[in-house]
Parts: sequence; structure tokens; C-alpha cells
Amino acid sequence: MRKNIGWYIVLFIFLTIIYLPIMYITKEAFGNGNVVSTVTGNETLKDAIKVSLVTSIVATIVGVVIATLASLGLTSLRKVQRDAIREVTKLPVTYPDVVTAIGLMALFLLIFGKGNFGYMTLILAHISFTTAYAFIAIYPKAKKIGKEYAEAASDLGATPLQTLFKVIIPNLKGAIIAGSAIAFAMSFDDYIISSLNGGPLENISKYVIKARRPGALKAVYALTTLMFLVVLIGLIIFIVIKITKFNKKEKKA
Amino acid sequence: MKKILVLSLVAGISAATISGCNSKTDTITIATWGEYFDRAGDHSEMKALLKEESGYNIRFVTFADNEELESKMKTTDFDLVIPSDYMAAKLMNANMLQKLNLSELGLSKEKFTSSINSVWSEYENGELWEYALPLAAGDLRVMWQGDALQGVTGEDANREISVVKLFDQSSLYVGMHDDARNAALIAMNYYSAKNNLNLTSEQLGNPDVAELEKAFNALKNSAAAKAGKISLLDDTDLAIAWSQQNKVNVAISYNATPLWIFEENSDQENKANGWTIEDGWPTNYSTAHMAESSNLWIDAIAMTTNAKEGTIDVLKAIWDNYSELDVHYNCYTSTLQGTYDEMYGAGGDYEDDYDYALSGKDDHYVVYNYRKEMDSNYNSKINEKYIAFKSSIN
Repeated sequence: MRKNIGWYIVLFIFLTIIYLPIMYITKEAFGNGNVVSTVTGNETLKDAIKVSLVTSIVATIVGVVIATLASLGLTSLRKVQRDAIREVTKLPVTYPDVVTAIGLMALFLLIFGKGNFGYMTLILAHISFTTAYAFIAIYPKAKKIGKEYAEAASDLGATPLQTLFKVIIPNLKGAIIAGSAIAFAMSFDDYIISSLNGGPLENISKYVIKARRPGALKAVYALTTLMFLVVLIGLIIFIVIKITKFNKKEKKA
Repeated sequence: MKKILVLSLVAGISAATISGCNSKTDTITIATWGEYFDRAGDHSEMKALLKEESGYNIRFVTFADNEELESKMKTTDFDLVIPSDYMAAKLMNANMLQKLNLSELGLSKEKFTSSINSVWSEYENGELWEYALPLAAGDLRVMWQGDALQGVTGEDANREISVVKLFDQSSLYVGMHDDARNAALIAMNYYSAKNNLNLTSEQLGNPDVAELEKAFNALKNSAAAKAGKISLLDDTDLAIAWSQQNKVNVAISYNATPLWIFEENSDQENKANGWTIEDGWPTNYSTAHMAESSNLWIDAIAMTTNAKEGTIDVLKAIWDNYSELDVHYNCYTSTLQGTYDEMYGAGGDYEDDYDYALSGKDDHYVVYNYRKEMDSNYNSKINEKYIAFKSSIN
């Protein structure tokens, strides 16, 4: 114990840095009254949550589908082509969001014209970057699987669709889940791209940035607490499932 | 089975999104200042009222300043917009507003107060009347807690205090808006009063660059500035700092707009900051007009060129209900003479309430020469002087 005390202190500081802000907000949120009714009683915040959820879910689904298909397509190319395309796909992730935001806004103005900014432009904008993030998570696994699985399934008489849904996707499941989580988080958190491409729509980030007055801040604290609790419960369920599975395996062994 | 589930999910979400977008065709979108129509940052009460009166769903989109509104209008078609005076004129000149029929709204120029009427008629030789209506007005005034400003007493709406009294002492923290137009006027007021120049409102409000530089230098050398007790803050931060008496004892702000904060804080929080609270409202706060002159900010309402059918019904509903709501939520002043008299005149609900009333002096307000202000050369020089002043006191 004495030997490890330094590490315990480091661990304590590490956990404090991570959890102290959320603990403070949670304490404030519960101190301000009913957390759920603070959020549900605020019409503007409810609208912002709806915009964020609809945009993030649709953009994540579409982005992940495109990224999965692109990853599979890329594995069938020659190495030089593959590497070149993979580097190009990294670009949207590496350059600043503001560049993407302005570029998309200019493009949408050209295609759709002024006054047509709303869900359509917002979702398309989010798809453009969720696809890139999902691709980064999915492609390495797709590359690892290679063409061999598809060829083996084909040799055994599977149709291309059967190969995709029964062989490729089950093998990519972990990467697809990871890609979806990253894409959803990036989309849900986004501010600048949504600001320039959402027209009159306001998502959670836009609401939070404007919320500096006490009344609005209380709603933000309540929302943050609720989101934290949802993630925490999800994490606990995930850990419980993992432990249960591990125990079952141990028993079998 | 899994495949069907995934496809159903995608189809369901897409359909919900599309139907969600289409269900808003009867929605009128109003671009307005943050928390303009209510104090909690949630426009539900105003939405319900306008829906009942006009039959349309209302979506409020908020902006922090006029330039943000102008920028948003490049990608978004709003139906109604509520810009400030100079921006309304700018939007009109950019053909972004459509003509309004005053009589269709039961209005005429004569129904507005004389100070509003004279200021509004200055814009484009009165042409702005055809495109934008003065909806609310607020002036810059001084607010403080208890007896922080000794010797300034009285209950009348025309109570005045010279800015010299504020800045020539080092015991008070003075907070003002981080805004070139407002800071420039306060500096000019100080400079004029300190040197007995007796400048007119026109000269105070639209100074030459050299004169303004002298004014900022004078303010920079005041006792308050030398003691590091002047803060330049945005509207929200100014209200928060003043309510907490945290480095702002005296605020020079719009009408009584910082008072919203007392509703959002608990009584306990307000009392801890030294306020005597009765029914959620501070009783030991005082306000006065600046003795020299003030900016009169007028916010207008206008229909955009792409406004949807039915927007005029919402505009009418706003007009029919606005004055009462505005005083309640925003602490601004009604622009209509009849409503103004009903509220602040003899027997009015706000007869003794100088929070909202404008100065009774005809020449108190500067006539903002927006043409001069919009000149990029002049404007950049004014901003340059303001930024230099700001850096010197921070």
C-alpha cells in the first residue's frame, strides 16, 4: 500500500479532474429543483434536443452506411489507390470545422438557394463529417478482414447480399458500433457547422452557448445531469453484461 | 430479421424527419433578440398567445446583435425580424424588407410618441416608416443599489445624474456596455460636462473622430478609470455583475433591463447580494437619467421580402399585445403615445415607475446619424478609438 501511495494520489487527481465538473453541475442541478421538469418545462430547450437527436441519429445511420460501403469498396482496390484515397478521407477530420462549415454553406447556397436552410441542409452537413469519422473507425477492420471472407462465402454459394449481411457485417460489428458512437458524439456536440447550415434550427450546442443567464443555465445544468445519468446507466448496463458473459465463459471453461 | 429491423429503423427515422420538417409549413419564424419576449429564455407564453390570436405556430430564433441577424438572413428566410434602428434602415436599403401598410395595422405616424416619431423620420427622409415600425424603445440610464449614490434622491421620472459624479470618484465600480456607440456617448457626456462645453445632442451623439479621442482620453483619466473601477461588459454580464454587486455598483444600462435577473435568481441569492426583495422584486434599487444626453435605441419590427402568407396576422397580434408584454418582459418603453400615456400618465399602472419612462426633455436624446455611422471609414476610426480606450482601462 505504502509503495503504491504515489500512484493512488495520481489516480485520485486524474479522477477528480475528470469528474469534479460534472459532480458540481449535478449538485447544482438537483439543488435547483426537479431535474426532469426543468428540462421538459423549457420549450426552447426541448426543440433544441429534438433537433440534435433527429440530426445526429439520421446523420450517424447514413454516415455509417456510407463509411461501411466505402471501406469495403476500398479493400478491393490496389494498395497505391487505397492509400491515396484513405489519406484524402482523413482531410475532413484534420482541417478546422469552420472550413467545413463555410464550404458547406457556400455549396448549399449554390444548390438550394437562400431560404431553404433547415433539416435537409443540417443533416447533409452532418453526414459529410460523420461519414469521415465513421470511416476512420471502420476501415482498419475492413482491411483486416480483406477479400478472403467474401470469396469464401461466394465459393460456398452465398449471394452478394447474404455475404454482406451474414459474413461481412457480423465481422465488422465492433468497428461499426465504435464508428457509430464516434459519429454520433461528434454530430451531437457540433456547434459551428450547425450554426452556419441549420438556418432557423437551433441544436443543443447553440442553446448551451447562448445560455448565460441564470434561468437558462439552470436548464443547461439539468440537461447535462440527465445526459450524464443516461450515459452512466448505459455504462453500468454494459459492464454488467460484460461481467455476466465473462462469468459464463469461466464456468464453461 | 435483423436486416428488416435495420431497414425499418432507417426508414422510420427518415420518415419522421421529413414529416417533422413538413409539419412546420404553418409556422411563422420571428428573428428577435435573445429573451426579448420573456425572461426565462423560453418563449412558450408568447408562442401560445400569438398562436391563439393569429392561428399560426411561432418559431423564435434569437440573435445576439444586429450583425448576427444580418448574417443569418443570408441563409435563412425569416418572416418577421426585429432589428435595431440602423439595421432596419440597412435591411430596407438592401431590399430585404417589404412594404407595410400602416393603416392596415390601425396605425399612423401620429400615434407614436413625439421623440420616437422625430427619430424615426430621420431615417432615409422618413422612408423607413414604410418598411419597419418602431416597436420598443430603451435609453441608457444609471442604476444603483441603496444609497450608493449619496445625495441623489427623489421619485420622479425625470431624476437625473451627471456622469461626472459617477466617474470623478474612486469609491464606486461603474459598469457600462461593451459597445462602441454607447461607450462613445458616455465619454462625450463626460468630456462635455467636465469641460463645460455645452455640446448639443447632435454633437454628442455623432462626434468627430478627434473630438471622440479627446473624450475617451478624458474618461481614461477620470478617478474611476485610474482606480481601475470601470468595467465594459456585454448586456448579460453587466446585469449579472451588477446584481451580484461584483465589481459593478453602478450600471449604465438600458432602462431597467437588468432587472430580469432578480426573477431568475432565488430570493436567497438576491438577498445575499444586498438587495431588499419583496415579491421577488428589489425595493432598494434606484435609477436616473444621465443629465447630459442619452442614446435612444429603437427596435423595429419588419416583414421580410420572403415572408410567408399570414405573417401580417402575426404582426397584428404582436402589435395588439406588445406594449404590455414588452414592459413586463423587457422593461423597454412603448413607442405608442396612447399606450405610453395609459401606462405612465396620471392614473396609469406605472405612473410613479420611472424604470420605463423616457426622459421628459425634448432634446435629451441624440439623433443617431446612421449614415455617418455606417460610413466604413468613420466607423472603423470610431471603433479604433473605442478599442484603444478599452485596452487602456482593462
